[in-house]
Amino acid sequence: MRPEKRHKLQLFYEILCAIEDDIVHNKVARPTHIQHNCRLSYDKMMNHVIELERRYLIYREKTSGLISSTSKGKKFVKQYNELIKLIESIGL
Amino acid sequence: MTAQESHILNPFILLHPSSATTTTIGPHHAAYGIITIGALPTSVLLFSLVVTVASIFLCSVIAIYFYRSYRFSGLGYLLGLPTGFIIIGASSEFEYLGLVYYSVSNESLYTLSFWVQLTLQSEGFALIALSYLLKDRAGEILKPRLFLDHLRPPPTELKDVLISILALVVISAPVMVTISALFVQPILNDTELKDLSLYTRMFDLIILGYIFMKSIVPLVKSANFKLLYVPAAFALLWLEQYSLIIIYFDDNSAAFIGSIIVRLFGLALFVYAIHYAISNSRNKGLEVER
Repeated sequence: MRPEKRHKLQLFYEILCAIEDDIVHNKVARPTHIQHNCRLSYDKMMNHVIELERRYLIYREKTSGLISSTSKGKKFVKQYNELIKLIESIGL
Repeated sequence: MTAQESHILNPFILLHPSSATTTTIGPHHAAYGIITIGALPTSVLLFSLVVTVASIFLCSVIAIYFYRSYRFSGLGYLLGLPTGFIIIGASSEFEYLGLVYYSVSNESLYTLSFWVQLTLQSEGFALIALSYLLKDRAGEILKPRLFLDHLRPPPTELKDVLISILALVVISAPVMVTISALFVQPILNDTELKDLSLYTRMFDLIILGYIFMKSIVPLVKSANFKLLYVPAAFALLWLEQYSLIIIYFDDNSAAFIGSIIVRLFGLALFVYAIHYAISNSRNKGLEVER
């Protein structure tokens, strides 16, 4: 069965969570690990990573390519969690 | 303006001591309370003001929470909720204004306020219902769906068209019915206004019943019984409309007091449910950070 199309916000959230998860387990977040966690093609994942960087939600090192989430990115994850809880609570 | 007799349109007038003393049989219906327009005690006006301020405050809090969610997500179907609650808050304002016009014996503005209040309240409920009606059409979803949802066939074009038509009907009905009533007969007498209020309140009951069903089904499916506050809040708002219908048939001040209590309690429960859901997500966030 074809998987449900994910909303852009959900993809951003999953990428940011994957970054945090990778940092917790491996001390650093690598793009390939994030790609694996988010179940995205590398091209699509990189497009989203570029957009997240442009919005200052993540920071990417130029030389190593390692990724970390900014305080704005952490705030986004928090707000997303609140939104999901709110939507769930009203049955939407 | 000379003082004249008027049927009760604003239930707050039932709290006036003279409304309990005289009653008469109306031309089409059961008993209506007939009282002299004007000169309401300050305590009734003050009580109405407190109820109005509380309603507006609670509606505004709910609207702010949902507007923030809409601003964050950009999901159009979420906009129906804050707009609906803002309009319901505004309808409470007109309820109070009607009472003020009644106390200064301005009958035309008194009936106009009543008409605006009815229309706004129904429109508010219709906009909330629209959020639930359009959520399935949003296409992209934020949260992962349940396994049973994947087994359901995708919506057909015909279903999409029907939902669009239904959305238009739901949104336009409260305004169209009340405006058409004015076009057919520009000056509605109190009896006709009361009839109109019965029809709009029955519309509200249907809409709130729909919202209740739509809000409770996903929570029951996901066995999320801790979040049943919101369906309970909608059930209380349904009960408010039901109590107001009772007032139509039998000008009963106890039913009116009950309607105020369930309205305020329903709105407060809604605020609590939102606060509970959000604080719960914050606590979980803290646990993950640790």
